[in-house]
Parts: sequence; C-alpha cells; structure tokens
Amino acid sequence: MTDALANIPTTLAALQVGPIQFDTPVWLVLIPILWAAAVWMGRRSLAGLGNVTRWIALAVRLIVIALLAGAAAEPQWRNEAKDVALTVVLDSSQSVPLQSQQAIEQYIEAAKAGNKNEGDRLGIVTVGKDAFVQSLPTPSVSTVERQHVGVLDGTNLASGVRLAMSVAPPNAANRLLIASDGQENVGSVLAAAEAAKAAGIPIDVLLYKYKIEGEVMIDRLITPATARMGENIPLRVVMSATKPARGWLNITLNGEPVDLDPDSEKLGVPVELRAGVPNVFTVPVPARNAEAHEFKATFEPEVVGGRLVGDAIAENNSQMAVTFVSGEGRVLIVSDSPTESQQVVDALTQSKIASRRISPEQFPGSLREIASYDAVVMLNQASYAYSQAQQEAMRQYVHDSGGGLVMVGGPNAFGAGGWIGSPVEDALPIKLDPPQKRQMPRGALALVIHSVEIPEGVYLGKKVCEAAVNALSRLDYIGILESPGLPTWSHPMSVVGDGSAVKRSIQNMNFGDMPDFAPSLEMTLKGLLSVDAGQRHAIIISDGDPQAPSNALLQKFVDARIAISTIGVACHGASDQNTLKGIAEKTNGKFYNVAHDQLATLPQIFIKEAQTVKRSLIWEGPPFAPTITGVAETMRGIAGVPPIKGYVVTADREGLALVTMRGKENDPVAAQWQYGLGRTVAFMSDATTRWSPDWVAWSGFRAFWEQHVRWAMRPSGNANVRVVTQTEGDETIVTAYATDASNERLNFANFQARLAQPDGTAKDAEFRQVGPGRYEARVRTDQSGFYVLSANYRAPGAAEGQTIEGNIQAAITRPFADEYRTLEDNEPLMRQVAALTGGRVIEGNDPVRDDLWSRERLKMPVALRPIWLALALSAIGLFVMDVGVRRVRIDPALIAAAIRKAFRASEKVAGEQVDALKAARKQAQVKIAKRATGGDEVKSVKFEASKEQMSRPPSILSDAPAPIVTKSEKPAGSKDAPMNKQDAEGMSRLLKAKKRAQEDMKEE
Amino acid sequence: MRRASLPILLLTFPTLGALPGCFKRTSDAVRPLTPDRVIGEPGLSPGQFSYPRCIASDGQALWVIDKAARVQRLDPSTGQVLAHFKMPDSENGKPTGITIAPGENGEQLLYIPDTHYYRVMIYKPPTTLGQPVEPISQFGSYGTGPGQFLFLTDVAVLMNDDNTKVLRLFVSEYGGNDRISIFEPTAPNQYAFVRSFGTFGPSASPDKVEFSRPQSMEIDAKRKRLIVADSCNHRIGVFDLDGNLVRWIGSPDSTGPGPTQFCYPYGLCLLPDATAVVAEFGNHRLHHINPDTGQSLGVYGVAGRDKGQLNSPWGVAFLDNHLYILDSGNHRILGQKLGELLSSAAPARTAPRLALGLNTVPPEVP
Repeated sequence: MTDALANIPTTLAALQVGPIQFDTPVWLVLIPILWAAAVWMGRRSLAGLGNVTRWIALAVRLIVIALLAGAAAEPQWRNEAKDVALTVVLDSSQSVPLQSQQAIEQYIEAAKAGNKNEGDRLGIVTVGKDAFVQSLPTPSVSTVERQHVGVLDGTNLASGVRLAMSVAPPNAANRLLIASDGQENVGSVLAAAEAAKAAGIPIDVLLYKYKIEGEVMIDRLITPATARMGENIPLRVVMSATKPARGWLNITLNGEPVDLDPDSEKLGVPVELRAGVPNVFTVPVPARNAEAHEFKATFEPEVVGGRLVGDAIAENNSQMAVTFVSGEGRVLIVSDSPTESQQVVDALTQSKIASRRISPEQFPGSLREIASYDAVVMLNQASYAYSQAQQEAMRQYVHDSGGGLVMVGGPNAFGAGGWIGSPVEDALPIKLDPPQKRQMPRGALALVIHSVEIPEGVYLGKKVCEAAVNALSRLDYIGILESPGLPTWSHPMSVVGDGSAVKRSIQNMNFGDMPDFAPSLEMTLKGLLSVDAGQRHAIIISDGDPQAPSNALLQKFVDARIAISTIGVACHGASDQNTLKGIAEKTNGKFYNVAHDQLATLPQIFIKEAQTVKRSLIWEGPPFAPTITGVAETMRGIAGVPPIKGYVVTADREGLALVTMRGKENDPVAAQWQYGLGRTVAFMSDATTRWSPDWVAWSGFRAFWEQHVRWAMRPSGNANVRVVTQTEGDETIVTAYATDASNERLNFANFQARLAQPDGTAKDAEFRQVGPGRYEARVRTDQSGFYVLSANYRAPGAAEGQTIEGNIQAAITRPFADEYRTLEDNEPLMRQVAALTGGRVIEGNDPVRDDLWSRERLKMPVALRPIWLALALSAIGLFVMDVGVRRVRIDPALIAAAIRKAFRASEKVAGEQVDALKAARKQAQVKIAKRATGGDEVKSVKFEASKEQMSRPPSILSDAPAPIVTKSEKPAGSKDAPMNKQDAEGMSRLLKAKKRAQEDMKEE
Repeated sequence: MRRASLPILLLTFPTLGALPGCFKRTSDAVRPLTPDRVIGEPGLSPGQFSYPRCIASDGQALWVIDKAARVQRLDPSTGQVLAHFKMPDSENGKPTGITIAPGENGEQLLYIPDTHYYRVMIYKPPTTLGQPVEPISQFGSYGTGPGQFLFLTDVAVLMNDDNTKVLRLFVSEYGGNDRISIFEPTAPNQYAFVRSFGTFGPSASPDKVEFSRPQSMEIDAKRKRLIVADSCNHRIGVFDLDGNLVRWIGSPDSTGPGPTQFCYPYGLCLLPDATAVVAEFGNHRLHHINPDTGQSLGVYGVAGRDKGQLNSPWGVAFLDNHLYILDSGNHRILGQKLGELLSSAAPARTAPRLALGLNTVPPEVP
C-alpha cells in the first residue's frame, strides 16, 4: 500500500486536455478539494457582500485555484506536426541495372508530384560503398538529382539508413524508403533497421527485382604463394556458369599476355563450361625473374551475331593472383638521375647485392610490387613525386611486409622534400620537424583560395590546404586567405605549431567567389611581410576567372622576392589560364593547369609548392666530420667518417631509434631503427659530391653502404618455407610448410605476421602449428583488392643454440567486388527490414496509390511549450481582481451622478479661469508698455540694479583684511555707535525699495 | 529630492547617449531589410538554387540562373517554378547574366550571355513545365577582336519607343577585354557588331573609358542613358546610348563599406522613378542611388544568413512594387516591398553625394 502511494506521481501518465498536456497531473486533484474548501469558507467570509458580488468573488476564487493547480501540474502547449518526411535510400551500386535505377527515379518523382500534402518532404540518400545525402528532406525536393555518389562497387545499406535517420527533420513524422536489390555487402542493414525501429521510423522497401539467367564468372585463380626461379607455376582457374557456355581463357603475367597455345593465332585457349558445376582449368607458366609474378586470368565469352552469349556481367570475368618468386635478394634504388645514384650502385654491386635503379616515375604503385624487393634505397627524393597511395605503400612495405627502407639526403629529401606529415615519416628513425630549440630561418606560406566550379571543389580545396599544411614544419608560418565578397584571412598568418588550429580553420572555410585577384594579393603580400621569415611563398588555387591583378602589384611581390605559384583547376578557357599563367610568370612562380581528370594530383602540387619554403631546413657550411655516436652493426669497423658540407636538419625520435652519427648542434646525421616487421635507415647528408665529396673517395664508402643496406634488407632466411593460400568465403587460410636446410620438418617456429589490406590498413595475423612442419593462419579477406601477408619466423635449429630465421610472403587477391557476384535480388532481407520496423513492402506499380507519405503507423511528433508561467501570472492577476471585487463596492447610479457633477463643475471652473486669464493678460500688457517707454522702472528680476546703481563706480568687494581684534580690544562704542551717513542713506533706500515692492505686489 | 535624483540621472544619461544617434544623418545608417518573401533554398530540384548568380523580371515572374546552369522562371508570390530548362553546355562554366526583353516582333525573349562559351544565346522562353527549349539564335565567338568575346556578363536591349523593334544590343564582358560592344539587328534576331567602347583599366577620364568587369547594365530609355555596374572598379557608370561617359558614381580608390562607397557592385535595376538599386556583392547590401545626380539615397541590409541579411548578393530585380534580391551566398531570393523600404528612409535633403567623376554631358531630363 505504501509502495503504491509512493508511486502515484510517477505512475500517473501525462494528461492531455485538448491542446494542453499536464506532465504531473496529480496536482489537478487539488482542484476539487480546494474548490470545496473555498465554497465552504466563502459562505461566511463572503456573506456580507451583495448577491452578484458574492457569486463573482466566489467564481474568481475558483478560477484562481484552478489556474494555480494547473500551473503546478506542469502544463505544456502541444504543437503537433502535420507533415511527413520521406527519405529515400537509393541503392546506386553497380549491381543494380541502370534501367532499374532510372525507373525508380521516375517512380519517386511521380509519387511526389501526386502527393497532395504540400508540406510533405522528400529527401534523397544514395548508397554505394558509402552513403551520401543528395537532397535534404524539404517540401521543395521533387526530383532525384545525383551529385557525388562515391564508389559504387559495394552496397552499404546500413550506412544509408543511418545517414537518412540523421537528416530526418524533428518537426515532421519520418518514413524511410529503401529502394534496393537487397544485396548488401558492407555493414548490416538489419542492425541499422533496429535503430530505426527504436526511433519509431518505419522503413518501407521497394525491391529492384532481377535475376540474371546466363552468366559466367571466374570464381578463383589459384597459384602458389611462393615459387623458385625456373619452376613452372601451376595456375588453376575455377570458373562457373549458370548455363553451358563457351569462350576463351586468357592469361597475363605482370600485364603482358602469356601465349598459352603457341600453335594457334590466338594467345588464349578455348574453354567449354558446364552449368552448375565448378569448371577447373590448369595452366603452367614458367617463373621468369626473382620478383612478384602477378597473373590475371580473363574469360572472353563467345560472340554470335555480334552479341555475347551466356554472359551478362563483364566485371566478374577476371581474377588475379600473385606468386612471389624467390631468388637473390634485390634492392630497388630510386634516384632522379643515374648520376645521383652511381656511387651507391657501384658500392652495392661490389658488395654483390643485386640492385635495380629506377626514376621516381617508375616507382611501383602498389605494395605487392614493392614487396618483391628486399630493400628500397631512396636518394634525394622529394615527396611530391610520390602519390599518397605510394607513400602509404612504402610505410606498409616496411611495417607490414618486413621490407627495408634506406632514405638518403640531399636538398630534396626529408623535411626539405616535403615528407613532413607523410606516411613515410612514421617509418623513419628521426623526426622531420626541426627541434624546438634550434634557431633557424622560418618559411611563410600563404594560400589564396578561390572557389572552383566543380562538384567536389570544397572537398578538394580542404584536402589541398591540409596537404600544404602537413608539408610545413611546426616552426613555419601559414596563412589561408579566401574571398567571400571581400578577402578575408580564414587563418591569419601564424605559426603552424601542431597544425590543429589551422586545420580547424580549414574545416570552417567557405570557398567564396572572388571577383578580383588584386585585393586578395594585396592582403597576401601584407601578411607575408608581417612575419619574420627567411622564405616566403604564395599559392593561388582558382578557376582563373577573377579579374587579373595589375603589373604594379605583381612587381611588389617580385621586389619582396615572393613567388606566386598558381594552380588552375577546371579553368574555363584559355583566358583564365592566361591570367593565372601571367601571375606566376611575372612573379617567378609556377603555373599548373589541372584538368578534371587530374584532380588527384592537386595535393602533390601543393606539397611541392609548400616545399619552396622548406629550404630553411638545410644546413650548408664549412666541411666537418660527423661524430660517430652509437655502436651499431651498421657501423662495424668504421671508426671515423670523412667531412660533409651539408645535411637536412631533423630531430631525434624518442623510442628505440638509434642515432649513429651527429652533426652541428647535435643534429642527427645517421639513424636507424626497427619499424614493425622491417627496418629503416636515414642518412641526412647525401651520397654524391654535392655534400660528401670526400666520401666518394673514402675507402670505407663501400663498406658503409653495404652494411647499412644489408642491415635494412629483409632476411632471406635459411629455411625452406612454401606458402599456400586458399580462400573460403570471406576468409583465407594461409598454410606454411617449413623444412630446414637438411629437409627435415621445421617445428616450434614462432611467426610474427602482418596482413596489409587493400584499404591501406594492416592487422596482425596469427600462425599456429597444425602438424609437423605445418603452420596455418586464418585471415579475413572481405575487401576487394590485394592483400599481402608477411611473416618473420624464428625456430630452434637442430644444433644446440642454433636459430633458424627468415621471412615469408603471400599475396591474396579479391580482384572484383562481391557486387558482381550477385545474380539475383535478395528479397527476403528486404522483407525482413520492412517487417522489423513496421514498414511496408511496396510493389511500385502505382506511385500515387502506393502513398509513400502514408501516415499509417506514424506517430506525429509534438513540440511542447511550457505554459505554467502564463497560468501562474493569470492567477495572480485574478487574485488581485478578487480583492477588488470584495473591497470595492460598485454603485452604477452613484458613478453616473458623480460623472454628471464633474462635468458641470468643470464647465463653471473653466469659465472663471478664462476671465481671470484675460484680466491678467491686460495687466501684463500695461506693464510692458510702461517699461518700453521708460515711465516706470519695473525690475524684471528681484535683484536687478537700478539706473542709479549702475552709474556708480564699482565697489571693491574685497578690501584689505581688517585687523583682528580681540574682545578686550574692541573699540569703545563699536556696537552702539550711530550709523554713519552713507550707511544711513543705503538703509533708507532699501526700506523704500521694499515698501515700493510691497505696494506693487498689492496692486497685482 | 536627493532620493529622486538617482533615477533621474539613470534616465537622463541613456537619453543623452542616444541623442547623437538621433541627429545622425539618415543616409549614414544602414537600414534593415524586412523581406516579406523568401524564395528558394539550397538544392537541385526545381524551385531550389545552387548559388544563383543572375536574376531578371519579365513583368510577371522572375528568371534566375544558378551555378547548376539551370534557368528557372518563378512565381514571385509563391516561389513555384513556372518553367525551367538547363543551358545546353555548362562544363566550362555557367552564365552570369540574364535579360528579358521584347524581340523583333514584340514577343518576349530571353537574352543569356553564356559567359564561359563566349556567346549570346537568345531563347523564346518556355511557358510551361517540361516544354522543350531550343535557342532561336546565338552569336559570338572567343577572342578579343571586334564582335568577339571573352567572358560575357550582361546584355542590355534598347527598344524603340513602342517596344516593337530592337534598336541595339549592348553586351558587356571582362577577362582582360573589359568593354561593352554594341550590336544592331540585320534580320530578326540576327545581330551585327557595330562598335565597342571601353578597355580594361581604372581610369575616370572622359576621354578614355575603362572598365574592370562591367558586370551588369540597365537602359533608362526615357533619359537615354546606359547605366553600368563597373564591379571591380567599385563604381557605377552613366553613359549616353552611344557610349559617351556622363559620369562615374564612386571610384576605384574609394571602395569600402561606407554609405557613400561601393564594394563590387554586381547587380543593378532601375526603379520607376529613374533611381537605381545596386546589389553590392562585397558589402552584402543594396545601395539606392540617383544616377542623375550621383546621390546616395540609402543603403540596406547587412551580411548574414538570417531572413533580412544578405550573403554576397549578385543581382536585384524590380517587379510588382517589390525588390527581389538575389541572395546568392544563401541560395535564395528575398522579396522586399519597395514602399516599406523607402518609407523607412526618406532621404535627407542634403543626401550625401558619392565620389563623382566628370560630368561631360548634361543629364537629359524630359
């Protein structure tokens, strides 16, 4: 019972009375109780009042009680929404035929046109691998417009549903409509539907129905993960077909076709496929070099009468696989010219290390290609020569595939080469930002940003700004200027620091239109000159249509030795390009014209340009010999090194990095460390006569480079390990068969493995021994693309204390997305989503009758506004009225009589007042006339001087001070002495004047 | 008495503080806009805008072109789309001007300076939704020679007195070739180049007419004047119909936010009383001026995103006693009753005069 009472306030639900909702309606119970008390008390207290007055007073009291109790019950004014917002989650992935997508667009537009409620809203979210809002839900949206839809080789319906929920307006009831084939391959739409259900948002579904009847696809291309030089690599191609089909099977190796049938004119072999069973074809291909062998198998369907027979989707007609062919360890050397690398190549050749020199343009584009080398040596390389993907692949190459990286200096390397903030910096044993305490000239970079008329202009604009900021050191200055009408510093010229402030500014940029370059450039010049910098540089990104600046303004930049580089993006024509080109040429900057299909190069251009201010990171001066500081394997037998004339300034990295040589002000000159599975070496001076002329002739030159490169190289190992991979669904089983040098099974090996994934991330992989000399790792491979698995192993040898070490690699491929594996819709999933959320399965036959904005099962949102204060104030007002009713007796007859009397009296008084005013006016006129004629001296003010007084000489108000006399010295008769004549006359005049004034006042 | 003094003082000081504001000249104050209509929102559906950059009135409805290259005709009272079409080419860029004027036989035509395709497109405007639209004529080519264009900004159409015959087209352009070219009809909707006036520069000399991005033009046929918004020189030019300079209002050296200054005047429209309203892109406001006298009659609006605020306005049109301001940065059109606006600011007797250039030709007043 007690519990029940205690629960009363909480168990009573909100009470709704018309448009008013009481959140704590228990207080309303007071109304009848207090009403009864008021009536009972009123019988006595109001007994003395008249009949009408008594009832009025009682009614007022009752209303006051009701209002106060109502105010205590937390009243809210309900404003219920009337409109429905429908957000369509439109599957735009490549599994949905284009015709189906167009049909659904027309259906939605027809449905909106047929919807009668003008307040209803339509929003569009497209779904591919990611979801994007195309239109926010508003009443105006009537068509399906697509802007940026992202990558379409995946279907992430869950992301679409979540995004649609996030844009659902709170002041309308919301529905979602998923228009899809239901073949999701990223995320879980059911999990997202649970969230929609919790939010009370029903999801209707509209199914793209399809079933592909005739289709051929290559399920798998199986190759051994590793092979030896000279072996035949067996390729097993597994194909499936929904109907019997014929065609040709072609194979390429590293992009070059393999002639499978030398006797025939065609390169491939004919194949005949049976329906419903795996069709396996085996093709042997000899291993050519010690490098990664990338195979691609492609099915070419039969063509009859100009039409493909038995195949509908081309994207699933090929598969890829990689076999690593082992051989002598190889080193990849990258330099701009053969001259730059000649000394290092010679040193390695003399040390019997096989190497291959390439220019940066030839650098491999993917991890699997780099991974076939045991080490990469980069000589004086700038970051802008490498794409973001290549830089990430380099980092992964070291960290996740166990490769070695040797970065050698020069004026374009390290921080001076724009590597600050790059993925490669993470792999280096030094920090590229100079130390805080180091006094060195700073760079100042100004970015002038103009909006460009391309859909992804804002996104790109932010990307390039971030790229430029990342390339600067923390000591440099950066300023970003844009022009929303008038030029404005989005980020005023200030020190980069940790970059967080400038990156926040970048996110808040508006990318306004710029009518005229001149004001922006004037501000830029002022900003650059306002900071103490050794190098100043400006970059403009624009479509080139603002008005060109004057030559006089550009000359000011030249005079200040500030170059302006200009980047034309989607320029409208030759004239725009000429404007930008002119600015760059006149100020000794560079002009870049970036076409629509080259937008990906923009960040690299910005990094390259930002590098202009990075020259300050180079130390050049009189030759000195660096100090050897660390004991390391790489410096074995090297007691001293020749002098160097320059190096790139870097800073120590905390952790396990080992600095082996130091230069001026304790700057690191050489350093090394283990990074993930691999190793990196950094040498901040160079390997040419530019900075190290004495090194080239030094007897220890060969040993120095051999020891550093060998230390970094991936260990080739002294065991025999063969690796086989087998993909099962989203999982791949990697099996390693290990034997030692005497061909005995290698047991108790410990593997440290990493799997580099197609999206640039990596994860650990765990090998377990599953049999004698047999180890197995299971890894998830659900993304399309290439995976590289690398593992360092260590096992006890046969002899006491002997250790067997080595490295293995395997590549796993999923060349096409699961999107292309689906041959029919997934109707059950879509029905499940509708059922879960209380939505409908829409057939899509009649856009109007389907009623996409249906109110069915929708709870209209209500906006509540508290009104307790209004009720309380009303109660107070009525309370005052209650007092008035009781205390003030109102007699209408008396009031009327009083009003009549007041009117009469006012008329009489008014007449008297008019007469008096007239008389006073007459007297005043007489007086004024007298004064004007001088007949009578009437003073205008009480103390006005008379003519006589005015004619007297001025009296001195402050005479010499009278001698101070004491009471005893007071002269006799001073008190009672008669007034002298002058005083007597003055007094007499005053008395007369007083008398006259009194007479005047009497007259008036 | 002493007790009463404190409240009196408290009341007195704010009153005294407010006095200077009372005596401030009316034209010095930026007056607020109080739009009673807001048309459009960001988006790509009909009735939505993606950074609209030009506006014109056909006497019954508004025409707007945005950065999605869509030409839309809108009902000014409801914002509903009455007709729309897309420019045939837009990859290079989108038009920044639109003019509605009668053609050769009196029917209304759309003249669109196709800015980044170096041509003037002439359309018979569609009257219903979904009606296919094809240009009935076009002229112009890329170049700096006579009759060629770089970036076109606007077309002004000079009609005969009874509006039945086109006498001249004025076409403005920028991009280093900042000038106004005059074309005259040779056949219905066919035009031939006659001559041009103006070159790129900031000069105010009557002997040397220079422009820096003449962004929009209006013709005052009654006074035989061509009014030009010389945007990047921050001034308004008044010319006779042969291109002779009457006066400059404002100057490149006096740009700024002051009530007697311009900052990137982009849009322009003439009012029935022959005064003009200028949309200032850089100052995010409207500027009411008298082209005959060079007087500034008031400035209206402040920068922002709220209902009465502007963000980089590109244009302004007059229709049915309303000013329709193209609030480009906010992707909308604001409708402001002209009467309400002007009544909020009766111009002072001695309205400030903007920096005037030379007055080489006496104003013609009927």
